[in-house]
Amino acid sequence: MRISPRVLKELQRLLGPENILTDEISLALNGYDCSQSRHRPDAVATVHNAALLEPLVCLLAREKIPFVPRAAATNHAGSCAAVQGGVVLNLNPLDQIYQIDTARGFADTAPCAVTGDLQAALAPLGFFYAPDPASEKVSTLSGNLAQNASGARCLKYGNTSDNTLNIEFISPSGETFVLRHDAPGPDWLGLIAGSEGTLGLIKRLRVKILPAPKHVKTFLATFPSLAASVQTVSDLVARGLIPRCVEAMDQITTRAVEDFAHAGYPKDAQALLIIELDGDIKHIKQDAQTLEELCRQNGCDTFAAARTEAEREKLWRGRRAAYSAMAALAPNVAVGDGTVPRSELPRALAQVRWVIDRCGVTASLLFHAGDGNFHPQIVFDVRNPDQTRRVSRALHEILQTCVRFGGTVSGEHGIGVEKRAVMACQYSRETLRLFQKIKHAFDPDNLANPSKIIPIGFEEKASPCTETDPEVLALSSEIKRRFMQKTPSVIAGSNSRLKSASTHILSAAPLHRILEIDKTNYMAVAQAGVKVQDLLAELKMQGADAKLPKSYTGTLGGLVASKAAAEFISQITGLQAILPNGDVVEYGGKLMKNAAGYNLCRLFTGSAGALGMITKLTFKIYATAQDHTAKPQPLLSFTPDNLFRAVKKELDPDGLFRTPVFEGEKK
Amino acid sequence: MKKKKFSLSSPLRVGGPAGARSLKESVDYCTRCNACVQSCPSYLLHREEAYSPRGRNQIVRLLAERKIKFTSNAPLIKDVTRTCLLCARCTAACAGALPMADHVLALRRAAGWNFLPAPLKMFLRLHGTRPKIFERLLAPLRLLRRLGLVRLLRISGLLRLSALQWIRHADDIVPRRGRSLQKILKKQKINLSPENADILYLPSFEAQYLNAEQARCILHLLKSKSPCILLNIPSGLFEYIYGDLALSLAQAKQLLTVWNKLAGKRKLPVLTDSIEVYGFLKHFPVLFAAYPSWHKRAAAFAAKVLFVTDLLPTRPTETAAADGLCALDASSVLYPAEDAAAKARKILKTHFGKNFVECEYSRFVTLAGGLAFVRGAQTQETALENVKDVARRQITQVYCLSGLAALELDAALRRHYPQARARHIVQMQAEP
Repeated sequence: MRISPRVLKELQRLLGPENILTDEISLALNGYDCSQSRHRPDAVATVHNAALLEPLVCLLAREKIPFVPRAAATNHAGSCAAVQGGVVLNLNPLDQIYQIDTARGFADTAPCAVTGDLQAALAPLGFFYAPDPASEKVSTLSGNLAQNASGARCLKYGNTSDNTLNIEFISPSGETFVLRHDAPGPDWLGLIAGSEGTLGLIKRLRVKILPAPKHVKTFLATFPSLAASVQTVSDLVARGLIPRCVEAMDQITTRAVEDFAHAGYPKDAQALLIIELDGDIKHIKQDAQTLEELCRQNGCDTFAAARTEAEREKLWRGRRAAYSAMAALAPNVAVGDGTVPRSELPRALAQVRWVIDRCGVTASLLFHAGDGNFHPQIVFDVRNPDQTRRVSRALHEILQTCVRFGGTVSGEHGIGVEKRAVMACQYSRETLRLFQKIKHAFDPDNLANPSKIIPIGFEEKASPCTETDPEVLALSSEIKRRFMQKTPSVIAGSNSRLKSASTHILSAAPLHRILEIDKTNYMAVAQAGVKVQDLLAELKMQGADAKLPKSYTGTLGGLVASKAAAEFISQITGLQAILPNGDVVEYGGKLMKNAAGYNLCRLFTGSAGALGMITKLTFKIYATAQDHTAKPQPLLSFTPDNLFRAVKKELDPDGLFRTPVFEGEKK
Repeated sequence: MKKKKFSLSSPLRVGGPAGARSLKESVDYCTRCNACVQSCPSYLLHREEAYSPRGRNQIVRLLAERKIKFTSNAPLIKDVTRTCLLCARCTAACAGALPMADHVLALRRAAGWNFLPAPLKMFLRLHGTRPKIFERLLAPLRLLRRLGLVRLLRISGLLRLSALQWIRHADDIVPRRGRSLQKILKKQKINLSPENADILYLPSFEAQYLNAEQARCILHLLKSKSPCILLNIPSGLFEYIYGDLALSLAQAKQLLTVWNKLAGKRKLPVLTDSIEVYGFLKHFPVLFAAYPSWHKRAAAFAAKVLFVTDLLPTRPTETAAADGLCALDASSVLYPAEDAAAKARKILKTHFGKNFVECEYSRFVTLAGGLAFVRGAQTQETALENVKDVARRQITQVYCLSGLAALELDAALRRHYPQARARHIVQMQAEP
C-alpha cells in the first residue's frame, strides 16, 4: 500500500518532518529483524514523545494505515517485518527510566527503556529486575513483554508478564487503558504479554524490582546422559530447591563451545549443566549440599563449584560464547526456540538431533533445563538456496517435534511471520479461530502489526479439536444447543462465590476429576469443577502441594474465574474452556514457558464465566508444603470497559453467557 | 575533471579473529542480532536504524548487492558514514567480531569522502610523506599560536566559520606549552639509537608533537627498561583512515622493511604508545592478506607489537595521585584493543585498589583517532555525555589508552568539570 501525500503531511505535522522517513534506505533498514524476514514499510515514524503516541495511532486508525511497533528488533521470528507495508513506529527514543521506587519495589519506565540499562541503574541500589533474556543488553522492556521473553531466571522468578505490575496500553483505535493483573475482570495485561504488538502499543510500564541476592554460587555438573541431567533438575524442583537458573548443553555443543572459548568444560561429557543458586550464604550452603547429593545420585561424572568470581566468570564465558562460536562459522545463524514438558526433554532433544543430522545442517543445542526450553542454533549461508531450504525444513520439523512431545513452538521468541505455519500443528481449528476473534475484537481493521501469529488458511490446515472426555463433550453439546436456541447460561462451580439464582445455571459439577498429578514435571491437571479443598487433600495424599488458599470453599474453576487467588493464577500453565458457541479450546499444558498465540489462561482469569466455561486447568505443584494461609481475595464488581465489550461481542455476540458480577453488562 | 565512479569492489581484505574476508563476505556475516546497537555512541544520539552499526552494515550490503542506488541516496549515506566515530565498540560487542569500522571506511573510500578539512589533511599528510617540511612548518605555527594569533582569530569570530572550526578545536585540546619529543630528547641528552637496542619505539603523534607530558612519561618508562631505538616513520594509519589506501599500504610496507632491517634475525619487539597505531599494527596480517609475499612478514611483525601497558609496572609504585576515584577509558579506533584494555584495567586495579571504578556497561566513550575535528554538534554532545558520566561517578582521574582521547576528554573536563583530569595511561607512573 502507498500512503497518500496528505496523510504523510499530517504525520509530519504531528511528529515533525524530520521524524517521518520515506527514503529508500530508511524503509529498507526498518523492514527486518534478527530473522530472515524482510518487508519494507511505506514510511518510518520516529516517536520522541510518548504523549504523541495516542494522536498518532488515532490518525493511523482513521486513515486505516497498518502500523508495526518497532523497538530493538532483536527477535528471531520476524515480528517486526512490515508484511502489509504501512508505517513502522520507531519507538527507540522513548527509553527513559522515569522512577525507581525501592521501598515499594517497582520501576516506571518508557516503553523502550533498555533492560540492561534498568539492570545497571538498579545494581547500585542493591536491586534487580528478574527477567534476563539473552539480549538484555540491547532489548527493551516493552519488546520483552510483547514477546514475553523471560530468559533463564524465569524458573525461579516467573516470566516477564509476572514481573510487570501494570502498563499503559494504547489500543489500535487510539484509546488508552491502564492494565493491571489484579484489576477486576479478565487479566488483559497477561493477554497483551506475548501478543507481539498485534493487539496494540505499550506506552508505559511499571515493572517489579527485587532486592538483589547477597550471594550467588555457580556449579558445573556433567552427566553421562541427557536423561540423567534432566532428571537431576526434576529432582531439584521436587525437593523445592529452585535454582536461579539451570543452563545446559549437549556434547556436540560443549565441544564446539570449548574449542572456541576455552571455558574448561570437559569435552567427553554427554550433558553439561551450569546451575546457579542465590540467597543468603547459609541457605546456599545447605542447597549446595542437596544439589551435590542429587547430582551424585543421578550419576554425575563431575561436580564442581566456582570458588572465585573469576572461576564463575570462566564457567559462564562458555555459555555466553555459544552464539559467537556459531556466528563465526557461517554468515547466518537461525536460532530456534521450542519448549516441551521437562520430562520429555531427553527424548525431544534426541529427536531434534536426529532431525538436524537428517537435514544435513550444523547446529548447536542449548537448553534451559529448568523450564524445558531449548534453542537450536543452526548455521548456514543464506546465499546458498539449497542450504537455506534445508535449514527451513529442519526448523519446521524441530517445531513439529516439540508439538508431538506436548510442547509449544515458542517458549520466548514469539511466532511472528516465520512460525505462523506451525501454529496450525500446535493448536486446533477452534483455538486458532478464538485467537482470530481476539485479534478482531482488539483490532477490527487489522492495523496493529498485521499478518502475525495466526496462520493463513488455518481452517483447512488445522485439525478440529480432539477432546474425548465425555463430560466435556456433554457440556459442549449442551452449550451448542443453547447457542442455537439463544438460551442464556450462567456458569457456576459450586455457586459459592458468583452466587446466582438464575434458572439457566450451567453447573461445572460433572467436571469433578483430578486427571493427573505428575511428579516428574511437578504439574497437576484437574477439571474445573474439583473442589479446592478436595484437591488439596488429594495432593497431600500424594506428597505434593499447590499454592491454593485453604479457606476457599468453592471449585478450582470458580477460583480462577473470580480471581480469588492471584498467586495461584500465576501458576497456571494450561487451560481448556468451552466458548459460548460450544467450541472447545485448549491452550498451554505442562509447560513452564509458552509464547505461542494469545495467553488464554489470562483471558479466562477473572472473566467470571462471561467469556466461556473453564473445564480443565494445568498448574504447577510442589514437593514441599506451601503456605495456604492467604485469604481468598474479595470478589470485586467489574464495570465492563471497551476492551471487554469488544471481546464479549466477538465471543458471545448474543450475550448468552451471563454473570451477576459484571455491572452494566447487558442482560 | 572526470568524477570517480562509485564502486565497492577492492582487493583489500577486512576481518578480525575469524580471519580475512572480502568486504562483501564480511558484511554478509552480520546476523542482524543487534548486539552492537547500544554500544554505538552515534546511534545513542540519533536512535535511528540507519545510524546503528547494524544499519550501516546493511547499507553496505544493499549497495554491494545493488539493491539501492548510491547516487539517489548519497546525502543520507554521507551523513551516516560521517557520524560513525570508527570507535569499534560495535566490533567488541559483536558475536562475530565483525570489523564494522572497516566496512564504513570502505564506503568512505568508494564514495571519495574523508571528512577532514582539506588544509588539515594536507598538513597532516606531510608528517608521513615529508616529515622534515612538516617539522619546519610546525615551529612557526607554534610561535604564531604563542603570539596570540589563534586568540585573535577567535575574537574576530572567524573561527566560527565551519571551515575553520577545526582550528578552534585544535586550540582547545592541544596544551599550550607544547614541546616536541625530539627537543625533549635533545634536552635530556637521551640516545635513542643505540646499537644494543632490545626494543623499537614507534612514538605516537601526540607524544611527538602535542603532549609533552606524555612524551616525558614514555621516555621515563623507556629509560627504566631496555635500551631502545626510536622509529620515526609513519605506520600508514592516517592514510588508511583519511587518505589514499595505496599510500597507506606503501607506508606500512616501508615500516615492515625498516623493522626487518633493524631487527634482523632477533625480531625485536615494536613498542607504541598510541592505541590506535597498536590496533592497526596488530591488524597487519589482515591488511596484507591479499598480498602473499608480504603476509608472512606482516604476521611475524604483528606478533611482536607491544603497547605501553606491556611495560608498565604491575606492582603498585608511588603514583602521581593515588587519591580519588579513577577510571579507564579504553576508546580506540578501527579495532577494539581488548587485550591492552584488560592489561590496563589490571594495572589500574593493582595501583588504585578499590578506588578503581569499572565503566564496563556505560555510555562512556571518547573520540579517538583525530575524528573529533570534524564532528561539530555531535562531538560536543558526546563530550558532554562523557563529562556527565565522570561527574556522576565522582571520578577524579580518567586514564585513556589513546593520547588523543585523553586530550579531548581533558579539554571537556577542564571546561565543564575541572575536579577531574584525563591523562594517557603512561602518565599514571610518577612523573619524571
